[in-house]
Amino acid sequence: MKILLVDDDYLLAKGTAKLIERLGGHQVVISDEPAEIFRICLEKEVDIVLMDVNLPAAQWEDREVSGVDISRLLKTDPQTAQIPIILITAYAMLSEREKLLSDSQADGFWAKPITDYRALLESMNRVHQARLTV
Amino acid sequence: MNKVTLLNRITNRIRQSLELKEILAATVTEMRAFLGTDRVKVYRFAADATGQVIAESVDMKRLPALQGLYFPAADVPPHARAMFIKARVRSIIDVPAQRIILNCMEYPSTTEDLTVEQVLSKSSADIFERMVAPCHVEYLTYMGVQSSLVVPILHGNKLWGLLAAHHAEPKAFSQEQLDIVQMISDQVSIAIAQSHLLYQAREQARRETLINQISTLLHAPVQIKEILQTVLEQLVKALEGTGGRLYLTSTNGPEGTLYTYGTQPDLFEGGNQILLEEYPFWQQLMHNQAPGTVEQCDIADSRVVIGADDDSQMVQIARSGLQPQAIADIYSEPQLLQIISYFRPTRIRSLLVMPLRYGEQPLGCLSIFRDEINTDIPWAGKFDPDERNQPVRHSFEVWQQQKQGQSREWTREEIEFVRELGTNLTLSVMQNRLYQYEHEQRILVERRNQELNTARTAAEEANRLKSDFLSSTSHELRTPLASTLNYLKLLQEGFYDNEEELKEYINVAYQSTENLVAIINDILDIAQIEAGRMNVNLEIINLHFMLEEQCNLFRLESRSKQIVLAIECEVENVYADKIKLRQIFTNLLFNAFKFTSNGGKICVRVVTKARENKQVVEISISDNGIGIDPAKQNLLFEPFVQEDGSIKRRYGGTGLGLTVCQRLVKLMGGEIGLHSAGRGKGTTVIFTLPVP
Repeated sequence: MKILLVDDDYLLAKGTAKLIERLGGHQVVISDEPAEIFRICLEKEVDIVLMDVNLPAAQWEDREVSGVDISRLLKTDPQTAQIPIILITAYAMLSEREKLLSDSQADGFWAKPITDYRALLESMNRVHQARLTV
Repeated sequence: MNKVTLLNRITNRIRQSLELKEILAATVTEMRAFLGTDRVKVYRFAADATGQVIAESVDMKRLPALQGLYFPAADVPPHARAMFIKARVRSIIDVPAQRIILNCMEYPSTTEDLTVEQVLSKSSADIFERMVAPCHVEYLTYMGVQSSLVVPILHGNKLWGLLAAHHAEPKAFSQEQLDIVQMISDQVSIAIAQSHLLYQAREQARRETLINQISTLLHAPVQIKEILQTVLEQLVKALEGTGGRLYLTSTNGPEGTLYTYGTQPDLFEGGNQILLEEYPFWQQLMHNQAPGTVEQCDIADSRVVIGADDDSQMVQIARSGLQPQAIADIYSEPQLLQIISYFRPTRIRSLLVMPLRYGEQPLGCLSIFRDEINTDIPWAGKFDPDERNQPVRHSFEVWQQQKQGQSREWTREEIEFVRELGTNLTLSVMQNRLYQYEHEQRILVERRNQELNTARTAAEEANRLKSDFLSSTSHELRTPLASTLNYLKLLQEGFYDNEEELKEYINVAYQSTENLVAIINDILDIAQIEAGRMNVNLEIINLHFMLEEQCNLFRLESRSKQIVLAIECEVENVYADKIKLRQIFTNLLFNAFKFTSNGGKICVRVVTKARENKQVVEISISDNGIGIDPAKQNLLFEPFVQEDGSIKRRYGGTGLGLTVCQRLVKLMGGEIGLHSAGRGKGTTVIFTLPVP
């Protein structure tokens, strides 16, 4: 699988990417630039997106955008709608989860810090397989 | 003239009017014309048995006019009055013959002169024929009368007056004349009864009108104070009083409200105003303890003398409920002795007090004053009470008696009027009090609701802030934790390619953990302050020492970034918590160094300033660093807020530093603010602390 990891904390993202590559044998691309994210998705270079929510410096069309906004934009564009998106965020409180999921229209939700990478990888596989069978 | 025609004529004239004066004037005129006597008069008895000629038709050439004159009680002695009632007699006196014929229509007869007891005990038949007493003959002779015909006028069962015909010469009356006179007397009795009813009806109507007027006034949409003053004035006028006062107890304190009108007793004593209503007489009335003993009265009369002793003059109408106390002469009332001196400088003589009470609750009382009156009484002839043994007066010469300082009795109607009005007044005052109470309660409830709303809004806001804080806290703790965990996992799995990578992983994990500790410290500080658990240990702190300490702390930073740290301290000491002040300085200087590029300048300036009439120590830390967008300046003290996302990426931090500073400064009794002219124009943080 080719994976796009969206996170503004580069050191954190680097560690996450390395773990996914080594544990799951996947290929990981890191980005926190909305333009780059949309391009990668449009060019079908990825099978799944792991999306952070808090992207303080992210701008799209002169507006500050969060991971939730980018996710929604991807999901509402027919060309990218089929790409599975899993939110990975430190906004992990139960009360916030529902709203984040419905606003982003993402396919799954994982809380930071990720404690069980194997479970995450299984989940990613499931979502990816489900996409392929549809 | 036909007897029936004549009677009809007289009866018609009597019936033409309901006014007593006109009726009686018509009666005497018609009767004198009919009898052909020199005088016909109507004599009316007063309560004390004296009498007055209230109507007269007289031939003044033959007999003197008696109109308006008073006659003493002894002139018509008790036995004579009793006889008039019991036998309903006519007396026809023929002076020359010295005969009196007491004529009861059925039993013409005469007897000797009798006492009241004899009259009452004897059978009617025995008293009808007798010799006229010599004194009576003498009396008439001195009056110039030779012939007299007297018929009683009864009202109810009482002797109201006499209808008398006098003639200067002996005159005989025919049986027909006597019959007619008797019938006229009966007609007069009926007319008096009707006139009395009319008077009563008029009085009743007048009182009712007044009560209605006052009731309407009591419910007028005007301030109750104005209403009560007007009611008091109207009441005093209606009762022909000269003054009055209305005292109302207070609903929430010892001070009552007093309304006064007209003459008042002289209540100043030693420069202080005395409250009449605080004296026992009024207090007892208000608290339902009637002064003295109340006796049940004769219902027919409705008047009773009450009081422990016979001196008491108080008249009370016996009815259930509240009673006015009517005192005709305050100087004869033992219960007013204590306060009578206040009345002496005035002409007040009579007092009427109506207690106002709602159930057991005393509301106050209404007092009406009436001045003493002087009366002139024209008497027909001198009557010396010391010469009672000499019963016959020789002269009927008119003389004026002047009676001074007379009291006027309160009539039953007046008392009843005040009682009814008191009831209306009570209801009105009570209604007003209830309205006031309800009004106050409503305002109270509204205020409470407002307070509750404010409190709820504040609680909701606090709750929201707390929830936001918690959410942010969770996020800010999880982020460094995620990094630490990631790199420890990489180390655990052995996912490093060389020694350099190994060191890098350990380093990142370590830094993330360090970062995590810093955040936890800040969060715990804030949480502790918010919970009110942060203790401040205020003491006098030498600023020079503390600033030098800070300079040492930032020396390395200053040197490596080539930033000048200038200290301008004009103040020796400040009153603060040492550890917390150090924390503030470190936080603010850390920010200043972080946001100032190489070769910049940071200045710490300490001065004393007057703020809101208070001397404070003002500490400012200025840099010529990146500055802040003015629109965002106020938000920076909120937890986890930074100017924008790029700051975090470039400079790190959690957005808690200024929040902690703000809370600490507040805790030590100071204020903190931030100013920047804009992006790239440097920043100044100013905070104050108390002078020692």
